[in-house]
Amino acid sequence: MVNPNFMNGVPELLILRLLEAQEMYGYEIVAAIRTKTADAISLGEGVVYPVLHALEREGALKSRRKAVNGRTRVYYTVTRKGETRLAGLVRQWTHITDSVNRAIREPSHASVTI
Amino acid sequence: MLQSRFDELRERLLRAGIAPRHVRRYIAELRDHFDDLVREETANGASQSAAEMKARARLGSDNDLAETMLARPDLRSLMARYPWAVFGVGPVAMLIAGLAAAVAIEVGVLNLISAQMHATGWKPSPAGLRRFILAAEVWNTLATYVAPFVIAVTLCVMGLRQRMPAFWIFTGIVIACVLGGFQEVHFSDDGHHGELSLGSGLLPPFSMKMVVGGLYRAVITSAAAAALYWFGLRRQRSGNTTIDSAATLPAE
Repeated sequence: MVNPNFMNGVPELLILRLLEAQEMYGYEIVAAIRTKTADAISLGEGVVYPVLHALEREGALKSRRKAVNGRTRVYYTVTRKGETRLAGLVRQWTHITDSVNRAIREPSHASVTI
Repeated sequence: MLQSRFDELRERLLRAGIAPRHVRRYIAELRDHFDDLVREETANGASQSAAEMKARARLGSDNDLAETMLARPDLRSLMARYPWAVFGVGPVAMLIAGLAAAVAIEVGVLNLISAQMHATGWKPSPAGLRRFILAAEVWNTLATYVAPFVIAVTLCVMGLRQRMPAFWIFTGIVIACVLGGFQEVHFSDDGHHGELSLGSGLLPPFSMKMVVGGLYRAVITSAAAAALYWFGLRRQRSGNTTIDSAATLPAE
C-alpha cells in the first residue's frame, strides 16, 4: 500500500514518461505502469483517465481516436509542452528521492548533551 | 448492474459539475477498459462472472473513480462554476445578440433594396410592397417570438445535461421569455418612407397594447419551454430507472 500523499504527481510523471516513447490508450498505459513498476504502484485502474483528461486540458497531452480491431480507442501522446512538464517532474522527483536516500543512508550524528 | 454502476457514477459527476463532455468520455473509456480487463481475466482462465468481478475491483470503487475526477476542478463546466452568469446574464446577452443580428440582417436587406432602387429607378408595385412588408413582419415575429423560445430551450437542454438545479434552469427560462416576450420589432412602409422601430413593453411609456402583448408572449413561450423541461426531465429519469433495473454484474 502506497501512502497517497507520496503519490502526488507520480501518476502524471509515469504517464508522461510512458507516452513520451509511444502513443497509448488507457488500458495499455495502466498495464505498462504495472510492468515498469513491478506492481509496486497499485491504483484503481480507472483513476488514470482523470489524470489523462487533465493533462490533455493543460496541453501536455493530445489525443486522437483510432479504430483497432473494430473498436475505437482514444490514443494519447505527449506534446512539446508535455515534454517540458515531464522534464520538470523528473527533476523534482530525482531531487526528492536523492534527498530521501541521503537521509536514510547517512548515519545519524546527532547527540544529546545534558 | 455494471451499466447501473456507471450510470450512478455519471449522475454523481454531472451533479457535481463535471462538464458533460468529460463525463461522457470518462464513462466510455471506463467501459472499454472494463471490457479489456474482462478479456484479460478470461484469457487467464477465470469464468465470465469471476472475470467481471475481478475487472470491476481492478477498475476501482465508484468512490475512487468519482473522487479522482472531482479532485480536478478544471474539469468542471463553466455552467457549474458560474450558474448566475450562464442562467442570469446569458439569456440577456443572447437576446441582445439575437435581436442585434436580426435587425442587422433586416437593415442590410433594406439598404440593399434601397441602393438598387436608387441605382435603377425601380419602384415596387403596391402588391410587391405589401409582400415585402409581410416578409419583414414574419422576420420580426421570428425575432420576437422564436428567438426567446430558442434561447429558453437551449438553456433548458444545457441545464438538464449538466443536471443543474431547477431553480437555475427556470431563472434562465423566465429571463429569456419575459425580456424576449416584451421586446418589439416593427417595420412599416407607406411607399415613400420605411421605418424600423425597436421597443420594449418593459420600458416607458407603457402602452397597454405592448404590456398585454408582452405578457401573452412571455406566458406562451415560458409555458412551452417549461413543458419541454418537464418532458426532458421525465425522459432523463425514466432512462435512469430503466438502466438501474438491469443487473448484469455482481456487487463489489
